[in-house]
Amino acid sequence: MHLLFIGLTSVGAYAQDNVTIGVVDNDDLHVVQKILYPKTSRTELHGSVGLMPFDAYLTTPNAQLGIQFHNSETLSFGAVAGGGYGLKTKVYRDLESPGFGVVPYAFRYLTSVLGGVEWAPIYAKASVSGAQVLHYDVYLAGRAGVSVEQSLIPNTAGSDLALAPTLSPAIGTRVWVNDTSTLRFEFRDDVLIERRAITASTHVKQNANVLVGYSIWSAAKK
Amino acid sequence: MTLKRTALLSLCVLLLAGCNRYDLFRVGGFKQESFSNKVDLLFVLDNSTSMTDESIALANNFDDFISSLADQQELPSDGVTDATANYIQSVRERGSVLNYQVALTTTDIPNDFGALKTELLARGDNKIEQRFIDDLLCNATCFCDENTPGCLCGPKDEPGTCDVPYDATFTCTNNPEFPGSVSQQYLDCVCGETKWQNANCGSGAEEGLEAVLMAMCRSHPNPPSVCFDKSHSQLDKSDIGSNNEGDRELLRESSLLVPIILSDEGDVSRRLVNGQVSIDTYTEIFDQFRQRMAFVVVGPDNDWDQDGLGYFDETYVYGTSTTSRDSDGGGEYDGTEVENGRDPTGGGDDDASANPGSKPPRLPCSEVPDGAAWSVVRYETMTEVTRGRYIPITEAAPGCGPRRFTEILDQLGEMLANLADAFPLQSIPQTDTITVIVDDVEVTEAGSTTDDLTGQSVFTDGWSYRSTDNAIVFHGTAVPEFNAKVEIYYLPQEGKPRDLPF
Repeated sequence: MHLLFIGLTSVGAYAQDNVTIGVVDNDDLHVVQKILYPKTSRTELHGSVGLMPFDAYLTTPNAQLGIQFHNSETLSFGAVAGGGYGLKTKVYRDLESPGFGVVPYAFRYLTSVLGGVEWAPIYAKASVSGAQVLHYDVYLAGRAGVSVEQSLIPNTAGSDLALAPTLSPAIGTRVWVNDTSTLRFEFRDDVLIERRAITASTHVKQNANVLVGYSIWSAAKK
Repeated sequence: MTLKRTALLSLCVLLLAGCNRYDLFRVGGFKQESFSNKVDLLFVLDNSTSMTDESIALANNFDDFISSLADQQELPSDGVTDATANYIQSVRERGSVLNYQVALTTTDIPNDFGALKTELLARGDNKIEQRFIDDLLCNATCFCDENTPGCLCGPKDEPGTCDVPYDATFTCTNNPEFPGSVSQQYLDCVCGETKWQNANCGSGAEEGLEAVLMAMCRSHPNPPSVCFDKSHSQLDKSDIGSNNEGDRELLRESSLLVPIILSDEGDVSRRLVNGQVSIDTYTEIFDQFRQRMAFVVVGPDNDWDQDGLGYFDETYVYGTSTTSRDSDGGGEYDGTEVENGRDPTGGGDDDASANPGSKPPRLPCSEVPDGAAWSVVRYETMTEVTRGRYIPITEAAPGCGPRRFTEILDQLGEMLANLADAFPLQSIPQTDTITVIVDDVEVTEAGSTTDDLTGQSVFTDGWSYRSTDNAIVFHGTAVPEFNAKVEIYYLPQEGKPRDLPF
């Protein structure tokens, strides 16, 4: 009886929260552990090949070469120069044929020189089928410079070349192969302010570019 | 705003601004594919009593002329050798690739009013030379004799007494071939005995420009209202299409009409005042047809500079007298000349109100009466305006003999062979956007000056835009070679060349 009374009146014991010792919670994590491939104070030389496939009248294969100086893990500055040649699409060829007799006053990309900043806030690791861990970063780039384009309609009375100031936002990723080399994937959108001689008019033109490249890195400082 | 939303919004802005915009130009020209090689030849023959010799000469020589255009032979096309031979032939014999039609009317408006006197013949027709010559001789040539007022011929069948030769050796057969020269016997055979004599003799007023206009009015499916203006025309709506034969039309779409006026006198067309040299009335009417035209006139002597010192020198010798056109030294057209009434109204020497007899002087090798040289200037101006050719029907002074017709027809053939100097455009261009490329080399725009005599533009080498037929015209050495690749880029005025399928 006594034991029953004690059992009915005694306060139940609250279970205490588990106290984990020696384990870090997810919310405690703010950095990637074991950054195998630091970027600070390193120089990156990169080359890419790309395609500008989004224009209705011209498809432009191109190549870019660049250099990037990484001040920190997130910020770097550099320059990139490239060249290419806009090829007429089937739509353009159909339009200029005798059946239609219409020629868009289009301009083909020839070359560009840009300089600017890259901001890489993301450094990450990915497990590929559990067999391999890839280290990669994601960056945003803001560049400015000049592009040179050529009119498809000749105009030697004036000039068929257009020198266009260019703003170039970009987003890309670098996947580390090893400590001194990475694969680059970048989507870049060059925004040109272009003066067209025959119509004496100024237009905003976009050269959206998809690039795949390879980088070589200088040695990391110990 | 979260980072995610910001990124999404930025992407949308980029996508919305992603469609590059381009002006759409028209491009004309191409490599022979859209250039028309269609030529409609309209002979306009003066069938007055003074033109019998010239009509006979035309018939005698027409065979050779039309043969150069009537190449019936199919070009072989088997392999590189044939292709090379074809190209060489086409360069050497440009007439052989012309798609031509030929017909004839007369300058006699009161009787013919621009009606065709021959069949409307085309390349490929059977015996085209024979049929044209027979129609010319039987329906359009004045063979007069002593019964025709003003005729200088003697009785028929007497050798040497008429403009028509006598050939006793000719034997008439059914549908005889033209023997190479006209004879009384041949005419009896093809036209009917006596039916050719004193027939087809037109009035003494040669209205070449009006005849061309009436012929066009009769041919066009929707002619301008001026064709039925009762103050000048006898045509009515029932005459529309009367110069066409079946589905064959005299005025074909995108063809070049070449009126070839043959006359030993000037033009006295009824829509112009006698003495008036300006032909704007007719050029404005022709513009309404929107037809490419190039006038050829085989007409009276037009050698204005007979003393060889230039047209605007201070003295000009004609006959046995000397006339100074610039007696005050102020220049020919200073408006102050009153000698011989040259500019009594002060409106300029060549305005319509000036004394017609004062400018230009008599032409000694022509049948044109003194003081009526303005009638020749009309033809001259029309050939210049349309970039055709003026060929004097006689040799130059002092000989003044008849010009060999083979020479005339050679010049005509040469002109026809050089037709590829104008490319019509499909839309009205913004002229400051025109770019012309020939064989991948840009051609510059031609400079122009004004001819003092006719007031017409004279161009340097290059191209110019001709608004009358909305065409790019090449000048001088800029005329493209046969088979050249011609590209003409321009922004159309309406801003959008056509509705695109997307």
